[in-house]
Amino acid sequence: MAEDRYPPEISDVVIAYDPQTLARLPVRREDAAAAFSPGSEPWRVVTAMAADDAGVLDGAAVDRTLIGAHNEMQRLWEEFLHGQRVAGVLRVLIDGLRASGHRGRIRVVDVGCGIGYVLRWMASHRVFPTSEVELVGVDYNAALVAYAQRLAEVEGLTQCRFEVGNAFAMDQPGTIIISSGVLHHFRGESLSAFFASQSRCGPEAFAHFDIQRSWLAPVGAWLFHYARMRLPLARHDGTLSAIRAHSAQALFSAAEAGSGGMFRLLHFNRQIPWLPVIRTMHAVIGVRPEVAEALKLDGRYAWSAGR
Amino acid sequence: MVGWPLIALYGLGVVLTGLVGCRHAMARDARIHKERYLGRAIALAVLIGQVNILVAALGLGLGWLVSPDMATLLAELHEAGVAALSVYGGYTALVGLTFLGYAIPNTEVRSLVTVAIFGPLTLVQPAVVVAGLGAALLAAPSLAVALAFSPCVAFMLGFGRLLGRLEVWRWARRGEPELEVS
Repeated sequence: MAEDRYPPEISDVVIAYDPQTLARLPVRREDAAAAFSPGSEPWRVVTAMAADDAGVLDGAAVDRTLIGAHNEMQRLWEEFLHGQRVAGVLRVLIDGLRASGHRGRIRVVDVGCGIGYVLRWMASHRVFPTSEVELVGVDYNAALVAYAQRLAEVEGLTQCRFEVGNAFAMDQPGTIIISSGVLHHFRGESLSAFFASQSRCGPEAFAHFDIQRSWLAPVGAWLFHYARMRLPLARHDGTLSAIRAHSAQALFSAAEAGSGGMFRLLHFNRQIPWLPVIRTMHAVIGVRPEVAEALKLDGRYAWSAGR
Repeated sequence: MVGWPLIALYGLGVVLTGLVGCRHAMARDARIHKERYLGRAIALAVLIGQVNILVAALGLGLGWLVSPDMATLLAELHEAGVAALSVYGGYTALVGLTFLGYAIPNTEVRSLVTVAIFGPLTLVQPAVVVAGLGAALLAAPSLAVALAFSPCVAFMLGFGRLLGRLEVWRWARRGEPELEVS
Protein backbone atom coordinates (compact mmCIF):
# COMPACT_ATOMS: atom_id res chain seq x y z
CA MET A 1 0.00 0.00 0.00
CA ALA A 2 1.35 3.44 -0.91
CA GLU A 3 2.15 5.59 2.08
CA ASP A 4 -0.24 8.47 2.61
CA ARG A 5 1.46 11.73 1.74
CA TYR A 6 -0.70 13.74 4.13
CA PRO A 7 -0.29 13.93 7.88
CA PRO A 8 -3.14 12.45 9.95
CA GLU A 9 -5.78 14.51 11.71
CA ILE A 10 -5.23 14.95 15.43
CA SER A 11 -8.49 13.14 16.17
CA ASP A 12 -7.17 10.12 14.24
CA VAL A 13 -4.15 9.65 16.50
CA VAL A 14 -5.35 10.54 20.00
CA ILE A 15 -7.93 7.80 20.09
CA ALA A 16 -7.82 4.08 19.21
CA TYR A 17 -10.24 1.17 19.37
CA ASP A 18 -9.96 -2.57 19.26
CA PRO A 19 -11.39 -3.40 15.82
CA GLN A 20 -13.17 -6.50 17.14
CA THR A 21 -14.53 -5.44 20.51
CA LEU A 22 -14.51 -1.67 19.88
CA ALA A 23 -12.99 -1.31 23.35
CA ARG A 24 -11.02 1.87 23.83
CA LEU A 25 -7.26 1.23 23.66
CA PRO A 26 -4.72 3.25 25.62
CA VAL A 27 -2.85 5.80 23.51
CA ARG A 28 0.55 7.03 24.63
CA ARG A 29 0.92 10.78 24.23
CA GLU A 30 4.44 10.32 22.91
CA ASP A 31 3.24 7.93 20.19
CA ALA A 32 0.42 10.25 19.16
CA ALA A 33 2.76 13.24 19.02
CA ALA A 34 5.24 11.27 16.90
CA ALA A 35 2.77 11.46 14.01
CA PHE A 36 3.58 15.17 13.65
CA SER A 37 6.69 17.31 13.20
CA PRO A 38 8.05 18.44 16.57
CA GLY A 39 7.02 22.03 17.26
CA SER A 40 4.18 22.02 14.71
CA GLU A 41 0.68 23.10 15.76
CA PRO A 42 -0.78 19.57 15.95
CA TRP A 43 2.29 18.39 17.86
CA ARG A 44 1.73 21.19 20.39
CA VAL A 45 -1.96 20.28 20.70
CA VAL A 46 -1.16 16.63 21.41
CA THR A 47 1.72 17.28 23.80
CA ALA A 48 -0.50 19.66 25.79
CA MET A 49 -3.13 16.95 26.35
CA ALA A 50 -3.46 15.49 29.83
CA ALA A 51 -1.78 12.12 30.41
CA ASP A 52 -1.13 9.88 33.38
CA ASP A 53 2.27 9.06 34.89
CA ALA A 54 2.86 6.36 32.27
CA GLY A 55 2.25 8.91 29.51
CA VAL A 56 -1.12 7.45 28.48
CA LEU A 57 -3.59 10.11 27.34
CA ASP A 58 -6.48 10.81 29.69
CA GLY A 59 -9.46 9.37 27.78
CA ALA A 60 -12.01 11.63 29.46
CA ALA A 61 -9.98 14.74 28.66
CA VAL A 62 -9.59 13.60 25.05
CA ASP A 63 -13.36 13.07 24.83
CA ARG A 64 -14.06 16.53 26.24
CA THR A 65 -11.74 18.04 23.64
CA LEU A 66 -13.37 16.05 20.86
CA ILE A 67 -16.86 17.09 21.96
CA GLY A 68 -15.75 20.73 22.02
CA ALA A 69 -14.26 20.33 18.53
CA HIS A 70 -17.40 18.62 17.21
CA ASN A 71 -19.49 21.46 18.64
CA GLU A 72 -17.37 23.89 16.66
CA MET A 73 -17.31 21.76 13.54
CA GLN A 74 -21.10 21.54 13.62
CA ARG A 75 -20.95 25.12 12.34
CA LEU A 76 -19.58 23.77 9.09
CA TRP A 77 -22.63 21.59 8.64
CA GLU A 78 -24.94 24.38 9.76
CA GLU A 79 -23.49 27.03 7.48
CA PHE A 80 -23.15 24.61 4.57
CA LEU A 81 -26.83 23.74 5.03
CA HIS A 82 -25.82 20.13 5.07
CA GLY A 83 -29.03 18.92 6.68
CA GLN A 84 -30.99 20.17 3.66
CA ARG A 85 -28.47 18.63 1.27
CA VAL A 86 -28.61 15.16 2.82
CA ALA A 87 -32.40 15.32 3.22
CA GLY A 88 -32.76 16.16 -0.48
CA VAL A 89 -30.71 13.14 -1.52
CA LEU A 90 -32.47 10.85 0.95
CA ARG A 91 -35.86 11.96 -0.34
CA VAL A 92 -34.88 10.82 -3.83
CA LEU A 93 -33.47 7.51 -2.55
CA ILE A 94 -36.54 6.78 -0.44
CA ASP A 95 -38.83 7.58 -3.39
CA GLY A 96 -36.76 5.13 -5.44
CA LEU A 97 -37.02 2.44 -2.77
CA ARG A 98 -40.79 2.84 -2.56
CA ALA A 99 -41.15 2.84 -6.33
CA SER A 100 -39.11 -0.36 -6.54
CA GLY A 101 -41.51 -2.05 -4.16
CA HIS A 102 -39.79 -1.65 -0.78
CA ARG A 103 -42.38 -1.80 1.98
CA GLY A 104 -42.00 -1.21 5.68
CA ARG A 105 -40.06 1.25 7.70
CA ILE A 106 -36.80 2.48 6.21
CA ARG A 107 -33.84 2.59 8.54
CA VAL A 108 -31.31 5.28 7.74
CA VAL A 109 -27.97 4.63 9.46
CA ASP A 110 -25.43 7.44 9.75
CA VAL A 111 -21.91 5.94 9.97
CA GLY A 112 -19.45 7.87 12.14
CA CYS A 113 -22.26 10.20 13.19
CA GLY A 114 -20.21 12.08 15.80
CA ILE A 115 -22.64 14.32 17.66
CA GLY A 116 -25.34 13.46 15.14
CA TYR A 117 -26.05 16.81 13.51
CA VAL A 118 -27.52 15.51 10.25
CA LEU A 119 -29.96 13.08 11.87
CA ARG A 120 -30.96 15.54 14.58
CA TRP A 121 -31.54 18.19 11.91
CA MET A 122 -33.80 15.87 9.90
CA ALA A 123 -35.66 14.75 13.01
CA SER A 124 -36.19 18.28 14.26
CA HIS A 125 -37.42 19.48 10.85
CA ARG A 126 -39.70 16.44 10.50
CA VAL A 127 -38.33 15.75 7.02
CA PHE A 128 -39.71 12.20 7.01
CA PRO A 129 -42.67 10.76 8.92
CA THR A 130 -41.53 8.73 11.94
CA SER A 131 -43.79 5.87 10.86
CA GLU A 132 -41.90 5.67 7.55
CA VAL A 133 -38.31 6.41 8.45
CA GLU A 134 -36.12 5.60 11.43
CA LEU A 135 -32.87 7.54 11.92
CA VAL A 136 -29.97 5.77 13.69
CA GLY A 137 -26.56 7.32 14.29
CA VAL A 138 -23.62 5.00 14.96
CA ASP A 139 -20.13 5.88 16.12
CA TYR A 140 -17.25 4.15 17.89
CA ASN A 141 -16.86 6.98 20.37
CA ALA A 142 -19.16 6.48 23.36
CA ALA A 143 -18.76 10.06 24.60
CA LEU A 144 -19.82 11.54 21.25
CA VAL A 145 -22.75 9.13 21.04
CA ALA A 146 -23.88 9.95 24.59
CA TYR A 147 -23.66 13.66 23.79
CA ALA A 148 -25.65 13.21 20.55
CA GLN A 149 -28.32 11.27 22.42
CA ARG A 150 -28.46 13.91 25.12
CA LEU A 151 -28.85 16.68 22.53
CA ALA A 152 -31.67 14.73 20.89
CA GLU A 153 -33.41 14.28 24.24
CA VAL A 154 -33.03 17.95 25.16
CA GLU A 155 -34.89 18.87 21.97
CA GLY A 156 -37.39 16.02 22.26
CA LEU A 157 -36.29 14.35 19.02
CA THR A 158 -37.73 10.86 19.19
CA GLN A 159 -37.25 9.91 15.53
CA CYS A 160 -33.49 9.63 15.89
CA ARG A 161 -31.32 7.66 18.28
CA PHE A 162 -27.62 7.03 18.64
CA GLU A 163 -25.65 3.87 19.33
CA VAL A 164 -22.05 2.91 20.00
CA GLY A 165 -20.95 0.26 17.55
CA ASN A 166 -19.95 -0.80 14.10
CA ALA A 167 -22.59 0.36 11.61
CA PHE A 168 -21.79 -2.57 9.33
CA ALA A 169 -22.28 -5.20 12.03
CA MET A 170 -25.63 -4.21 13.51
CA ASP A 171 -28.32 -6.74 14.35
CA GLN A 172 -30.74 -4.73 12.23
CA PRO A 173 -28.69 -3.31 9.38
CA GLY A 174 -29.52 -0.03 7.72
CA THR A 175 -31.74 0.18 4.65
CA ILE A 176 -29.82 3.26 3.60
CA ILE A 177 -26.35 4.04 4.91
CA ILE A 178 -25.10 7.60 4.94
CA SER A 179 -22.08 9.48 6.24
CA SER A 180 -20.77 13.03 6.24
CA GLY A 181 -17.10 13.92 6.34
CA VAL A 182 -16.07 10.36 7.12
CA LEU A 183 -14.62 8.96 3.89
CA HIS A 184 -11.41 11.01 3.92
CA HIS A 185 -10.45 9.34 7.20
CA PHE A 186 -10.10 6.07 5.28
CA ARG A 187 -6.79 6.06 3.44
CA GLY A 188 -5.42 3.71 0.84
CA GLU A 189 -6.88 0.22 0.80
CA SER A 190 -9.00 0.84 3.86
CA LEU A 191 -11.31 2.98 1.68
CA SER A 192 -12.31 0.06 -0.55
CA ALA A 193 -12.45 -2.13 2.58
CA PHE A 194 -15.00 0.35 3.95
CA PHE A 195 -17.20 -0.14 0.89
CA ALA A 196 -16.71 -3.92 1.03
CA SER A 197 -17.83 -4.03 4.68
CA GLN A 198 -20.82 -1.92 3.77
CA SER A 199 -21.80 -4.25 0.92
CA ARG A 200 -21.64 -7.25 3.26
CA CYS A 201 -24.27 -5.73 5.56
CA GLY A 202 -26.61 -5.47 2.56
CA PRO A 203 -28.13 -2.01 2.38
CA GLU A 204 -30.49 -1.00 -0.42
CA ALA A 205 -28.63 2.23 -0.99
CA PHE A 206 -25.89 4.45 0.41
CA ALA A 207 -24.87 8.10 0.18
CA HIS A 208 -21.51 9.21 1.53
CA PHE A 209 -20.86 12.93 1.58
CA ASP A 210 -17.49 14.58 1.89
CA ILE A 211 -15.69 17.77 0.99
CA GLN A 212 -15.13 18.08 -2.74
CA ARG A 213 -11.45 17.95 -3.60
CA SER A 214 -10.25 21.00 -5.54
CA TRP A 215 -7.31 23.40 -5.63
CA LEU A 216 -9.53 25.93 -3.86
CA ALA A 217 -10.84 23.68 -1.09
CA PRO A 218 -7.79 23.97 1.23
CA VAL A 219 -7.86 27.79 0.98
CA GLY A 220 -11.59 27.89 1.60
CA ALA A 221 -11.28 25.45 4.49
CA TRP A 222 -8.46 27.48 6.04
CA LEU A 223 -10.52 30.67 5.76
CA PHE A 224 -13.60 29.03 7.20
CA HIS A 225 -11.92 27.30 10.11
CA TYR A 226 -9.65 30.16 11.10
CA ALA A 227 -12.46 32.70 10.88
CA ARG A 228 -15.01 30.61 12.74
CA MET A 229 -13.28 28.23 15.13
CA ARG A 230 -11.23 28.69 18.25
CA LEU A 231 -10.08 25.23 19.23
CA PRO A 232 -6.72 24.42 17.60
CA LEU A 233 -7.84 20.81 17.09
CA ALA A 234 -10.97 21.91 15.21
CA ARG A 235 -8.98 24.36 13.09
CA HIS A 236 -6.27 21.85 12.24
CA ASP A 237 -8.47 18.85 11.55
CA GLY A 238 -11.05 20.88 9.65
CA THR A 239 -8.49 22.42 7.34
CA LEU A 240 -6.69 19.12 6.86
CA SER A 241 -9.98 17.43 5.95
CA ALA A 242 -10.16 19.56 2.81
CA ILE A 243 -6.54 18.81 1.93
CA ARG A 244 -7.01 15.08 2.46
CA ALA A 245 -10.36 14.90 0.66
CA HIS A 246 -10.42 12.12 -1.90
CA SER A 247 -10.96 12.93 -5.55
CA ALA A 248 -14.22 11.74 -7.08
CA GLN A 249 -12.20 9.30 -9.16
CA ALA A 250 -10.58 7.77 -6.07
CA LEU A 251 -13.95 7.47 -4.34
CA PHE A 252 -15.58 5.76 -7.30
CA SER A 253 -12.65 3.41 -7.83
CA ALA A 254 -12.83 2.37 -4.17
CA ALA A 255 -16.63 2.09 -4.24
CA GLU A 256 -16.50 -0.05 -7.38
CA ALA A 257 -13.77 -2.27 -6.00
CA GLY A 258 -15.50 -2.66 -2.64
CA SER A 259 -19.08 -3.01 -3.78
CA GLY A 260 -18.51 -5.88 -6.22
CA GLY A 261 -21.11 -4.72 -8.71
CA MET A 262 -23.95 -4.73 -6.17
CA PHE A 263 -24.78 -1.09 -6.71
CA ARG A 264 -25.21 1.42 -9.48
CA LEU A 265 -22.93 4.30 -8.52
CA LEU A 266 -23.91 7.91 -8.86
CA HIS A 267 -22.11 11.14 -8.26
CA PHE A 268 -24.05 13.83 -6.46
CA ASN A 269 -22.81 17.41 -6.93
CA ARG A 270 -20.23 16.72 -9.60
CA GLN A 271 -17.77 19.59 -9.66
CA ILE A 272 -18.36 22.29 -12.25
CA PRO A 273 -15.14 22.63 -14.28
CA TRP A 274 -13.31 25.91 -13.57
CA LEU A 275 -15.77 26.73 -10.82
CA PRO A 276 -14.71 24.65 -7.83
CA VAL A 277 -16.06 27.21 -5.37
CA ILE A 278 -19.61 25.97 -6.04
CA ARG A 279 -20.61 22.53 -4.77
CA THR A 280 -18.17 22.31 -1.91
CA MET A 281 -19.64 18.99 -0.81
CA HIS A 282 -20.24 16.01 -3.03
CA ALA A 283 -21.36 12.45 -2.49
CA VAL A 284 -20.78 9.00 -3.84
CA ILE A 285 -24.13 7.30 -4.00
CA GLY A 286 -24.93 3.65 -4.58
CA VAL A 287 -28.33 2.15 -5.31
CA ARG A 288 -29.38 -1.42 -6.09
CA PRO A 289 -30.06 -1.91 -9.80
CA GLU A 290 -33.81 -2.27 -9.23
CA VAL A 291 -33.88 1.02 -7.32
CA ALA A 292 -31.88 2.69 -10.08
CA GLU A 293 -34.40 1.28 -12.54
CA ALA A 294 -37.28 2.71 -10.54
CA LEU A 295 -35.57 6.09 -10.38
CA LYS A 296 -34.90 6.00 -14.12
CA LEU A 297 -31.33 7.05 -13.49
CA ASP A 298 -29.19 6.61 -16.52
CA GLY A 299 -25.59 6.88 -15.50
CA ARG A 300 -23.02 7.47 -12.86
CA TYR A 301 -23.18 11.23 -13.14
CA ALA A 302 -26.91 11.57 -13.48
CA TRP A 303 -27.52 13.80 -10.50
CA SER A 304 -26.63 17.40 -10.00
CA ALA A 305 -27.19 19.97 -7.28
CA GLY A 306 -30.48 21.25 -8.59
CA ARG A 307 -32.30 17.98 -8.52
CA MET B 1 -25.73 68.76 14.06
CA VAL B 2 -22.12 68.22 15.11
CA GLY B 3 -22.54 64.91 16.91
CA TRP B 4 -24.38 62.79 14.33
CA PRO B 5 -21.29 60.92 13.10
CA LEU B 6 -20.51 59.90 16.67
CA ILE B 7 -24.08 58.71 17.20
CA ALA B 8 -23.90 56.73 13.95
CA LEU B 9 -20.57 55.24 15.04
CA TYR B 10 -22.18 54.22 18.31
CA GLY B 11 -24.94 52.50 16.33
CA LEU B 12 -22.46 50.58 14.22
CA GLY B 13 -20.53 49.68 17.38
CA VAL B 14 -23.72 48.18 18.83
CA VAL B 15 -24.22 46.14 15.65
CA LEU B 16 -20.63 44.91 15.78
CA THR B 17 -20.85 43.88 19.44
CA GLY B 18 -24.01 41.94 18.60
CA LEU B 19 -22.33 40.17 15.68
CA VAL B 20 -19.27 39.34 17.77
CA GLY B 21 -21.55 37.98 20.48
CA CYS B 22 -23.41 35.83 17.95
CA ARG B 23 -20.18 34.52 16.45
CA HIS B 24 -18.84 33.77 19.89
CA ALA B 25 -21.91 31.84 20.95
CA MET B 26 -22.49 29.92 17.70
CA ALA B 27 -20.23 26.94 18.38
CA ARG B 28 -21.04 26.66 22.08
CA ASP B 29 -24.42 25.03 21.73
CA ALA B 30 -24.99 22.08 19.43
CA ARG B 31 -28.77 22.04 19.52
CA ILE B 32 -30.55 22.38 16.18
CA HIS B 33 -32.96 25.09 17.29
CA LYS B 34 -31.00 27.60 19.32
CA GLU B 35 -32.55 30.88 18.24
CA ARG B 36 -33.38 31.92 21.81
CA TYR B 37 -29.91 30.98 23.01
CA LEU B 38 -28.32 33.06 20.25
CA GLY B 39 -30.74 35.90 20.91
CA ARG B 40 -29.70 35.92 24.57
CA ALA B 41 -26.01 35.79 23.61
CA ILE B 42 -26.42 38.76 21.24
CA ALA B 43 -28.36 40.76 23.83
CA LEU B 44 -25.73 40.01 26.47
CA ALA B 45 -22.90 41.01 24.13
CA VAL B 46 -24.66 44.28 23.25
CA LEU B 47 -25.18 44.93 26.96
CA ILE B 48 -21.53 44.25 27.79
CA GLY B 49 -20.59 46.35 24.77
CA GLN B 50 -22.19 49.38 26.42
CA VAL B 51 -19.00 49.60 28.48
CA ASN B 52 -17.69 51.21 25.32
CA ILE B 53 -19.74 54.31 26.18
CA LEU B 54 -17.56 54.76 29.26
CA VAL B 55 -14.47 54.04 27.17
CA ALA B 56 -15.62 56.64 24.63
CA ALA B 57 -16.23 59.15 27.41
CA LEU B 58 -12.70 58.51 28.67
CA GLY B 59 -11.33 59.03 25.15
CA LEU B 60 -13.30 62.22 24.66
CA GLY B 61 -12.10 63.47 28.04
CA LEU B 62 -8.50 62.83 27.06
CA GLY B 63 -9.09 64.54 23.73
CA TRP B 64 -10.60 67.53 25.49
CA LEU B 65 -7.55 67.79 27.76
CA VAL B 66 -5.15 68.21 24.84
CA SER B 67 -7.44 70.24 22.61
CA PRO B 68 -7.06 74.04 22.54
CA ASP B 69 -10.81 74.60 22.85
CA MET B 70 -14.10 72.77 22.68
CA ALA B 71 -15.14 74.19 19.30
CA THR B 72 -11.94 72.94 17.66
CA LEU B 73 -12.33 69.52 19.28
CA LEU B 74 -15.94 69.19 18.11
CA ALA B 75 -15.04 70.22 14.54
CA GLU B 76 -12.18 67.71 14.45
CA LEU B 77 -14.32 64.95 15.89
CA HIS B 78 -17.02 65.66 13.33
CA GLU B 79 -14.56 65.45 10.46
CA ALA B 80 -12.86 62.35 11.87
CA GLY B 81 -16.21 60.72 12.61
CA VAL B 82 -17.44 61.18 9.03
CA ALA B 83 -14.20 59.64 7.70
CA ALA B 84 -14.41 56.66 10.08
CA LEU B 85 -18.06 56.20 9.16
CA SER B 86 -17.19 55.93 5.49
CA VAL B 87 -14.97 52.92 6.31
CA TYR B 88 -17.28 51.24 8.83
CA GLY B 89 -20.41 52.07 6.85
CA GLY B 90 -18.89 50.61 3.69
CA TYR B 91 -17.95 47.42 5.51
CA THR B 92 -21.40 47.15 7.09
CA ALA B 93 -23.06 47.69 3.72
CA LEU B 94 -20.91 44.93 2.24
CA VAL B 95 -21.93 42.55 5.03
CA GLY B 96 -25.56 43.56 4.49
CA LEU B 97 -25.29 42.86 0.75
CA THR B 98 -23.83 39.45 1.55
CA PHE B 99 -26.89 38.64 3.62
CA LEU B 100 -28.94 39.34 0.48
CA GLY B 101 -26.86 36.71 -1.33
CA TYR B 102 -27.43 34.32 1.54
CA ALA B 103 -31.16 34.76 1.10
CA ILE B 104 -31.03 33.01 -2.30
CA PRO B 105 -32.74 29.68 -1.59
CA ASN B 106 -30.09 27.42 -3.08
CA THR B 107 -27.96 25.23 -0.85
CA GLU B 108 -24.83 25.54 -2.96
CA VAL B 109 -25.06 29.32 -3.47
CA ARG B 110 -25.55 29.85 0.25
CA SER B 111 -22.61 27.59 1.02
CA LEU B 112 -20.54 29.61 -1.43
CA VAL B 113 -21.53 32.86 0.27
CA THR B 114 -20.50 31.44 3.62
CA VAL B 115 -17.10 30.21 2.50
CA ALA B 116 -16.08 32.81 -0.03
CA ILE B 117 -17.54 35.97 1.50
CA PHE B 118 -18.53 35.64 5.17
CA GLY B 119 -15.23 33.94 6.09
CA PRO B 120 -12.93 36.59 4.57
CA LEU B 121 -15.16 39.42 5.84
CA THR B 122 -14.85 38.02 9.37
CA LEU B 123 -11.10 37.65 9.05
CA VAL B 124 -10.59 41.26 7.88
CA GLN B 125 -12.85 42.72 10.54
CA PRO B 126 -9.99 43.75 12.90
CA ALA B 127 -8.19 45.39 9.97
CA VAL B 128 -11.37 47.31 9.13
CA VAL B 129 -11.63 48.53 12.74
CA VAL B 130 -8.04 49.83 12.54
CA ALA B 131 -8.63 51.26 9.05
CA GLY B 132 -11.50 53.35 10.46
CA LEU B 133 -9.10 54.87 12.98
CA GLY B 134 -6.60 55.50 10.19
CA ALA B 135 -9.25 57.25 8.10
CA ALA B 136 -10.25 59.38 11.08
CA LEU B 137 -6.65 60.44 11.68
CA LEU B 138 -6.08 61.17 8.00
CA ALA B 139 -9.16 63.40 7.92
CA ALA B 140 -8.33 65.22 11.16
CA PRO B 141 -4.72 64.58 12.13
CA SER B 142 -4.49 65.67 15.75
CA LEU B 143 -3.54 64.21 19.10
CA ALA B 144 -7.02 64.99 20.40
CA VAL B 145 -8.64 62.82 17.71
CA ALA B 146 -6.13 60.02 18.32
CA LEU B 147 -6.84 60.08 22.05
CA ALA B 148 -10.60 60.26 21.52
CA PHE B 149 -10.83 57.37 19.03
CA SER B 150 -8.07 54.97 20.10
CA PRO B 151 -9.64 53.65 23.33
CA CYS B 152 -12.88 52.73 21.52
CA VAL B 153 -10.96 51.06 18.72
CA ALA B 154 -8.87 49.10 21.23
CA PHE B 155 -12.06 48.04 23.03
CA MET B 156 -13.67 46.82 19.82
CA LEU B 157 -10.52 44.94 18.80
CA GLY B 158 -10.43 43.13 22.14
CA PHE B 159 -14.17 42.62 22.48
CA GLY B 160 -14.21 39.02 21.28
CA ARG B 161 -11.38 38.20 23.67
CA LEU B 162 -13.21 39.95 26.49
CA LEU B 163 -16.29 37.79 25.87
CA GLY B 164 -14.03 34.74 25.90
CA ARG B 165 -12.55 35.76 29.27
CA LEU B 166 -16.00 36.31 30.74
CA GLU B 167 -17.07 32.92 29.40
CA VAL B 168 -14.07 31.16 30.96
CA TRP B 169 -14.92 32.84 34.24
CA ARG B 170 -18.52 31.67 33.94
CA TRP B 171 -17.34 28.14 33.13
CA ALA B 172 -15.04 28.16 36.14
CA ARG B 173 -18.14 28.67 38.26
CA ARG B 174 -20.41 26.24 36.40
CA GLY B 175 -17.94 23.62 35.11
CA GLU B 176 -17.73 21.35 32.03
CA PRO B 177 -18.22 23.89 29.24
CA GLU B 178 -18.17 21.40 26.37
CA LEU B 179 -20.81 19.22 27.97
CA GLU B 180 -23.11 22.11 28.60
CA VAL B 181 -26.35 22.14 26.70
CA SER B 182 -27.63 25.49 27.88
